[in-house]
Amino acid sequence: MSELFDRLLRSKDLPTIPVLHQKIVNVLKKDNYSEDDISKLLEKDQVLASKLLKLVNSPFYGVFGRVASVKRAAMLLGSNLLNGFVMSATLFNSTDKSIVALWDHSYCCSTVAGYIAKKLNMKTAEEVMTGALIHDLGKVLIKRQLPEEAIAVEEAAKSKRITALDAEKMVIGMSHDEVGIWLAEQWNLPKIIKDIIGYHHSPSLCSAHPKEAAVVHLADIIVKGIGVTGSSDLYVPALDEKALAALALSDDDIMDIVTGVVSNIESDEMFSKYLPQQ
Amino acid sequence: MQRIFINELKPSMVLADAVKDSSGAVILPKGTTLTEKHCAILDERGIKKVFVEGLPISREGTSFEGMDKKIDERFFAAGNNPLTLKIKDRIKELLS
Ligand SMILES: [Fe+2]
Ligand SMILES: [Fe+2]
Repeated sequence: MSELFDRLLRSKDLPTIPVLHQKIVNVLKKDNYSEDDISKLLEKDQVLASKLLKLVNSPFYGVFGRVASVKRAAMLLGSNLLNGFVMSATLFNSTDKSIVALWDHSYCCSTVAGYIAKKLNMKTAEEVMTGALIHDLGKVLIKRQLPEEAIAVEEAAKSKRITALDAEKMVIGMSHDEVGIWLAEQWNLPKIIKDIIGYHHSPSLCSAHPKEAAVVHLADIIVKGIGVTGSSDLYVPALDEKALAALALSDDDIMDIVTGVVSNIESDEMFSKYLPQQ
Repeated sequence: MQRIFINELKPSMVLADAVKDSSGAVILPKGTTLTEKHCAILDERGIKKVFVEGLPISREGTSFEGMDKKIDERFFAAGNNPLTLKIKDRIKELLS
């Protein structure tokens, strides 16, 4: 293994699953956990609580009326999604500009992926949203473990006008989807989430969950195209046509999805800050 | 065809696409020639933007200027398979 991989994947330096997340997971594990226990934990972290309220109040989430209570928001989300939400929100809790931008991007991918999954009547919509929230997990790890190389990746992408994926391969020899699935493995995340992380740029190569990975793949492209790029990663990645064929969507269906997404973003707090204002 | 803000609407403009609410129900069909009353209804229903025929509103000197170029640049590395180009063009139509 090269010296770079060594530094990237050295297990003693790996980020751990955030403490708050672990506490919440422990509560969720109990058969008769109370919503109050969860909301008390969530309310301890105001940033997290406000992120949660933003998510359930998104037009994509489609809740009627405005949700103002953390408890109700937690109930609406359901335990799986809440789980992934807390993990990603705490993981992305940083003052680093590019990490904040990556959170915005992940959040937007999750709402759009959920919108698509529900349109397709997928039973795994909740897992799709969860996976989308952490699909770029590998980027967080690269930034953390290899800060200098991460800057070199950004610069290479900008100056050569290539995707982050290609720049990572060039500079580090490994891309964030590979790094992400590796970390997800260390963390023992469910197979469906690992697959979404590992195949969100190449869903047609995924044998167990090609559809779920394809939905996140499409959401990623639409969200980036709209301009919620996640700062360092300016360029829309290449489309995996074969994977989209597996979703059995016609080109017209996909255009309808794009139109549906863009019609909703103006009333979504997170998206609207990326849109030109009148 | 142009996608414009509700407060830019003027009577006699023609809808280039149906206006739907968030549940997908049609509020006004494609081809409607707008009246003052229609504009008030759309505003009341919380609609933010609609498609109209032609290019009635100039975007020069606004934050929308150069939007097409920005979107082209974002898609620079995405290759040119037909579906990608379609997605790009639709996003341009919707955001510019
Ligand atoms: Fe990615
Ligand atoms: Fe992404």
